[in-house]
Amino acid sequence: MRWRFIDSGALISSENMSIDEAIFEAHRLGYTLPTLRIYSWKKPAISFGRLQDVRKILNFDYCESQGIEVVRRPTGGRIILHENDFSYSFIISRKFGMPSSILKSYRLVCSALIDALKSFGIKTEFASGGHFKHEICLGSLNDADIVYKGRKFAGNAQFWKEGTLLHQGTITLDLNLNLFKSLLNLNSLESKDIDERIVSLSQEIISLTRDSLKEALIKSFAQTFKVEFSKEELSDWEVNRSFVLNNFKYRSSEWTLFRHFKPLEYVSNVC
Amino acid sequence: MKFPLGLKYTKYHQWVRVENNRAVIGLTNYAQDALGNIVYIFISKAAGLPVKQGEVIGEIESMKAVSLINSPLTGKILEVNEVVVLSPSLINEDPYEKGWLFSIEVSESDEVLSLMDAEKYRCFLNEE
Repeated sequence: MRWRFIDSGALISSENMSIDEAIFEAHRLGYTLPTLRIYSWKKPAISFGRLQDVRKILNFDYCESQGIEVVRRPTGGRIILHENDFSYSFIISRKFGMPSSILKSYRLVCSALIDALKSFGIKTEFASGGHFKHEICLGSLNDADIVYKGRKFAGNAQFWKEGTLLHQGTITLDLNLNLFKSLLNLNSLESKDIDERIVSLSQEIISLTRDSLKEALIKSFAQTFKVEFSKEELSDWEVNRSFVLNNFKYRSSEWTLFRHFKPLEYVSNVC
Repeated sequence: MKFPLGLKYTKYHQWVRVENNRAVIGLTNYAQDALGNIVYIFISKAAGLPVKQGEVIGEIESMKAVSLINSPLTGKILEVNEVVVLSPSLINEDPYEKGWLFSIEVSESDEVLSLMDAEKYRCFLNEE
């Protein structure tokens, strides 16, 4: 069986979220096979979780003045700055072997990431103990997270509907932590916490490039799920759907600002 | 795993306690275990509002994963458990009692017959 691999290149934040949701919906409806998508960010962007209230923590005006996009994800989790990130999404349903346990599903997907990094000699592992809660994605830590030398370098989040999973992940290759903190309203303790908990991988591993990581990730996903991946493009259905989602959901200030906002019916029947 | 005999169950891993035309709904022990540590829950329908069977009426977040909450029956929302909204971990700690989510005044009693009993739910889990 050959599952799909899609390389979207660099897109703006709302397009990235729209495409992920369109792929998710196409798979949930049975139109497509499981899909691994890799992408990056055309402009620096803040993304935050579907149910996160960021009105107190995020300085929207300052983001705008700095040319930084702001988008609410379809998945859970906390706030993160995407700048020079390597991002991926994986869309799969339970009938293709994804466990229903949230923790087990994270561990299965992230084990592929751990294996991919291992091929560069980078030893990463699942976090054990020392869990933290934090409004910032990379500042929080639980059993589903992976760490490098005890520090977080990747964020992962999920959305589930009727046994279908949208898993979004991002690896900070070169995070500008000072810029990120300048966009947030943090007290000194919160600010110090994230200084101590985050690491950017490319600062540590010079050989890690976007292309080499892409190839390693495809290979490790294939080994983890015992399938092959074939490079494909989005279907016409997915392109049309992502166009609607981009214009009516992810670019709307209502979706961005209000965590319980329900877009128009023909958009919200997705997720 | 504990599945109380007197309750009905859904394929969305909810339990339903039916008393006359009132139904109390929560998540099964299997569901709370699969979700992990629940940190946030939101029910979008207030008391008095109508709901349809299968309609999405809320969202739940655990371990940075968001899942949807469906209504297992058609009727009218009677009450939302505000204690659980404030303390979502109650669902993990006591899914069948303190962790109940909402109650409904059932208007389509035939729908209750389509729900699974404990034994059928156990078989359903084995087949999944």
